[in-house]
Amino acid sequence: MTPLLEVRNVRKVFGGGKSDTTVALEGVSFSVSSEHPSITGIVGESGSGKTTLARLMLGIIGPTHGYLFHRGRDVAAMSRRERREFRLEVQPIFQDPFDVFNPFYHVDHALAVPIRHFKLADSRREVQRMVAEAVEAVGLRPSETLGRYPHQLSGGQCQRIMVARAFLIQPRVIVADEPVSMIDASLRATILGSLQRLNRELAISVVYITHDLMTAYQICENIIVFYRGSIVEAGSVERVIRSPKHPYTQLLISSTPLPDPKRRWGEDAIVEEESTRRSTSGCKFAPRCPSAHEPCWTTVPSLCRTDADRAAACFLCSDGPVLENEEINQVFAPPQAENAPTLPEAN
Amino acid sequence: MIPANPTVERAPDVLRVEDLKVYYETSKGHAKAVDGVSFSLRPGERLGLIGESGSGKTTIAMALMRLTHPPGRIVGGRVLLDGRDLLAMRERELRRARLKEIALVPQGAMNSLNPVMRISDQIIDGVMAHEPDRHPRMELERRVARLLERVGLESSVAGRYPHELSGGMKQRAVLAIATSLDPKVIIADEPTSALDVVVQRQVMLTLGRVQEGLGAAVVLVGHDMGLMAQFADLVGVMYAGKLVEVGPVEQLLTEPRHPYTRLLIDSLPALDEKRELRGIPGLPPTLVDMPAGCAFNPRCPYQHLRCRTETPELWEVDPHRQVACHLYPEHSALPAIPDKQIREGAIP
Amino acid sequence: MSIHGVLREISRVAHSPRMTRPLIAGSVLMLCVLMLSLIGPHLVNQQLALVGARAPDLAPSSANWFGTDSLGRSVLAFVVDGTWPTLQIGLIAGGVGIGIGLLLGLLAGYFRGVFDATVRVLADSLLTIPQIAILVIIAANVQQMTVNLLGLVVAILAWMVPTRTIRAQVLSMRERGYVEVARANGQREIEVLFREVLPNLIPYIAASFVGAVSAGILAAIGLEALGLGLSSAPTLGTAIYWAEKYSAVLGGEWWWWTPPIVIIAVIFLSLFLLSAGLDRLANPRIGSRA
Repeated sequence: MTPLLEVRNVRKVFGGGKSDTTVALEGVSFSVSSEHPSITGIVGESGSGKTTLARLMLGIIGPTHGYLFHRGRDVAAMSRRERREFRLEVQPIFQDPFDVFNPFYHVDHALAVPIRHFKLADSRREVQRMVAEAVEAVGLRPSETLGRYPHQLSGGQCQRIMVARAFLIQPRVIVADEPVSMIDASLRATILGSLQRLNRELAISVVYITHDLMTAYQICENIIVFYRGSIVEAGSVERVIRSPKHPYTQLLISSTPLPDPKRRWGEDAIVEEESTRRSTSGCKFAPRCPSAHEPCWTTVPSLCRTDADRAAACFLCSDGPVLENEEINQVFAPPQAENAPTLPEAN
Repeated sequence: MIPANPTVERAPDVLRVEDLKVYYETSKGHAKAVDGVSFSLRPGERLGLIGESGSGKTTIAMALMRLTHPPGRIVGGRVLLDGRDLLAMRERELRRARLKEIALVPQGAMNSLNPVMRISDQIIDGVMAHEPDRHPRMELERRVARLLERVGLESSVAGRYPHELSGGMKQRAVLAIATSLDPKVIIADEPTSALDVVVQRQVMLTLGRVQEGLGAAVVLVGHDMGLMAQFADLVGVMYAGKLVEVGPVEQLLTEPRHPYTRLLIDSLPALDEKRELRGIPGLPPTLVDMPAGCAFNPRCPYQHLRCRTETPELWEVDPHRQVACHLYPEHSALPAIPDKQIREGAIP
Repeated sequence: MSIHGVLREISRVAHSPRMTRPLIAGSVLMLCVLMLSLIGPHLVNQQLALVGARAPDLAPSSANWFGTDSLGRSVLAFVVDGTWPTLQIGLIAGGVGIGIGLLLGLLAGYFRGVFDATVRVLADSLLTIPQIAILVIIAANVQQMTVNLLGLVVAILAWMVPTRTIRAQVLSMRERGYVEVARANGQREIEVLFREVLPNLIPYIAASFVGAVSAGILAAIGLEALGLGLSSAPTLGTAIYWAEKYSAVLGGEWWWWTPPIVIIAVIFLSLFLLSAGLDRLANPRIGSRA
């Protein structure tokens, strides 16, 4: 079945001219299914390319090579009408809760405008009703939030209004780029809970992009780990987190500050990026990898399927079958049967 | 006030904060950013002050160095550094104490490095402010190299500019500057908030090593309980300008006493098992318009009549454990929260 | 609305935190100048501004408050009559300058590309040419100078700074999250530009407008003082021209050249204060410590 949203063999390069180019994404493929709503985690640190991927999936930037498909149609070549459908089905939630509101208008503006544009209501009264309903759906009180300017609300409230916007539009996929990084700890759970509700009750898929493994573990079924623009490991979140195969994934997990003083960070030396003396044309992680050996410096490892529900790009575990980029979804575990309402057909 | 327990032998505190109050003047009245905070630290001890936005933690960090700017004002309390009150000192004496005895790594420090000065010059700047006698160039260079090595940076970093360094390196350079005169107390305000998880670990381990080498005490201000668990010995939980719970980190995490602490910990994701994520309903109070009684009571699942009229004081429930909550000392631990209460959040 | 209500509303606006002292002072001054220029001519006998109306070179007296000039004109009448045309020229220059500046700045800053490069090069090069030289050449070739024409001549060089200011703001605004969210709503680029970006530019437009008016008046006075202004109708700059032509300074006729200069100074002072106040509105961080 045609996937809802598909990134195919994407390579994204920034910067013109010969010397200053950065390869932000290299050979990235994955898709969001149109059959079952999913929550997929994209995990990486700065420089991993995850924000570039988010912008690409939202159609904000285009790939240098490769494609973005929406229901099988190439987004770069869409007509105005097709583009509008794309917008209706693929919506963002951004990191900075204040930046996404126009300071000139009340916060209602952010909710009313999409209703009018996507023609979700007929009358002004209907618009107001929908706006109030959406605000309540995320646990806020309309009397405390509507009619206010963004700077009069807290970051948490603003971000929840953005989630309310998603309730209104009801896209098929939400691309959430670090939605809770700038939110206080106690409020993160609430916002992530709203995302889970969107997924369970309205069958909306979520692509959850973050650097925080712990929140990704809590809400995602499947996870893709990025390092410097490439996928290093992917699979079901239980498998990847419990028994990571790629040395970078292992490093990420061991560096995550667990709220458990009995399990403190180890003191093993972490090789910094800057002190790399040996340049690599092979695996990008080789300079920092404690297990790097000869082939790592010269050949780029391909994604190999090590388990039914996991693949890794590392010579240490390359005995399984090689996974072509487009097949990465095969290692994703489908959501639990009883929790998976099927999505409505596209009109 | 911390009720002293006379039977327990304590090493002399290197830092002792008594009833610190910092208020902000706003058009709508006083915002009590810090309202009567007290704690003490022994040499070598690591205190983590954890709180969300608006809890007053950054205000405390600045106030400890008497760096509070208008419209904020320190209106009361004492900050005793080895017995001398920093808040009562004359300006000249205070300047001598800053950097040499008590150092601050402020929020966003790595972005505040002077972009047109080399790292070595920035380190030397601070040193020379305290030791104005001329030092031979070689000696200064050696000193800089030693400081950089202490934070795990190569000596070549000395000649570089900030933009040539990565985030983690910049923050460690900031640490080198802050510890250049071997202070007794290091205050770090969210030192790793902009850093990746792997780099964060590196920087925090570096801070720990330097601190242990100096025998200094550390006050780590932040909002990440995980970071506190990894780094701190003692944790103080801030809410709306007050300390609501203080205790050793392990005890605090496994058996929190204050309802806010408990709800905060419950809302944290972890890697051991998937569970229902529960946030704390409601919002922290605006500091100009605090509810009567306990500031947390509108959101507290245990609130009762007394909470709405009387502000609880910090009370030592166990050795080294203090809580500010009316449930104590009657109860010895938090009763279970009925599910209904959590969902409704007890908002009147 | 009753007088009481109007006063209460004015008081409320005057006490709002955005009404800083410069803004109030500038507004009050400008109000005075406007009253002088609009009401003044009705209170003063306009005939007295004509040549030969009175005896020439009379010092100020109860009959002629500001005395007369060498052509027998009442200085008071001349100056009062001449204030509004001076302001008019400034308004035309400011209006045209802002109109062009807004259009070019918006489109160049938002859509970038070749258009932006062209606009930028054009504005930057014109800024480097000495304005007075161009203006003199153009003005000297105009046969019959009127207020509107002089305003347009001056406006030719009044658009560059507003264009650059607005373009710079648009460049930073287009990167903001709410612009991206607007696109995610399916809004077309033009709509995003006018509904989301433009409203936030209002403080900058106002500040640029005041700046353009100020520059326009200054350039016009410059031209007038050189004799390239309106030939017979009074303006403040022309008064200076006549005063200089008839050696009023050497002749000790201080009552002739002082009033126009004082009024010009007041005009610029009020425009400066308004500009400073509007700048602070546009950029609340100036001048205050958070």
